[in-house]
Amino acid sequence: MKRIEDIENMELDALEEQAKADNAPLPEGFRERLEATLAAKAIADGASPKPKPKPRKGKPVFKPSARKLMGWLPYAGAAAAIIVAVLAIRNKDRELIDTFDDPALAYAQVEDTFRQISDKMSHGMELASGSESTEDMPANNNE
Amino acid sequence: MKKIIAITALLLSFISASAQSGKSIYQKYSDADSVSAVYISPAMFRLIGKLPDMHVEGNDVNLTPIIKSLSGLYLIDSQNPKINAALPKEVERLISKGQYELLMEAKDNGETVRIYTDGTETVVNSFVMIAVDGPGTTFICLDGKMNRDDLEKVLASQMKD
Repeated sequence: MKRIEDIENMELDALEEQAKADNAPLPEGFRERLEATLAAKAIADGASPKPKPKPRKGKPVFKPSARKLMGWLPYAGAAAAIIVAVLAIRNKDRELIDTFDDPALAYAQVEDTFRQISDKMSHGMELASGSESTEDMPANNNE
Repeated sequence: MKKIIAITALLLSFISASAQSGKSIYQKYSDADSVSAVYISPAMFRLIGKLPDMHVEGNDVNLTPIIKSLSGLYLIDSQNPKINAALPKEVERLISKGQYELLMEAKDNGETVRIYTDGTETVVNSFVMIAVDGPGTTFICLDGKMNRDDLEKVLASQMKD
């Protein structure tokens, strides 16, 4: 009979050989417990962070950081503003061409424009006077 | 860095401040499809002012003083749906930038008319009308130094009886 101390000092191969030779029965539920333990170990290994890859030797790879890109933002904004300003000024300076060469025709157009405005205003006045007359009407017409 | 941001902000504010006027709206939309546009320059108004006294047909109202006080007329008559949608927004921006006050607003059967003036009690520096009527939108802007009484007389004289 081996003592526990002797068993602990044995190599794994020797232990395996001894177990096969003794043909000892497995304790009840041992297989399930062993499978559960192995599965738990596999999950624990998967969840643990992966070791960082070692930096490669040779040419460094350029990766622009967000901070560097933000540093360029004011310059890009200034450039865009200058372009917009130039376009706006160019558009502003575009000379308008008179629709009419003849002052008499231009006068007729001015008169027509005043008539258009007056028509719209008189329509508004009509609506206003219509609502006033409705307000003046008695609430009960049965009297 | 701070200087660049400040200059950019100044430029953008300058652009936005100087963007809206009757002239800029005219420049933006006058060449578009389904748009008829009329522009009368200050030089043309000076020429019209040299014509013999002009009276409104069938009335005693003299148009000459008001015409002499005008320095620009911008008219856009649009049948283009995109421009019809954009014009009222442009006018709102123009109104919000200046010292305009609403002179009249009328809404009837889907037609909306708004008239704004910019000036003092006696002088009108700018007169803006926007009329949205179904498929059409009309924008009129008169710039100048118009006597308010003269302008009201001219408009009253042309009103329907």
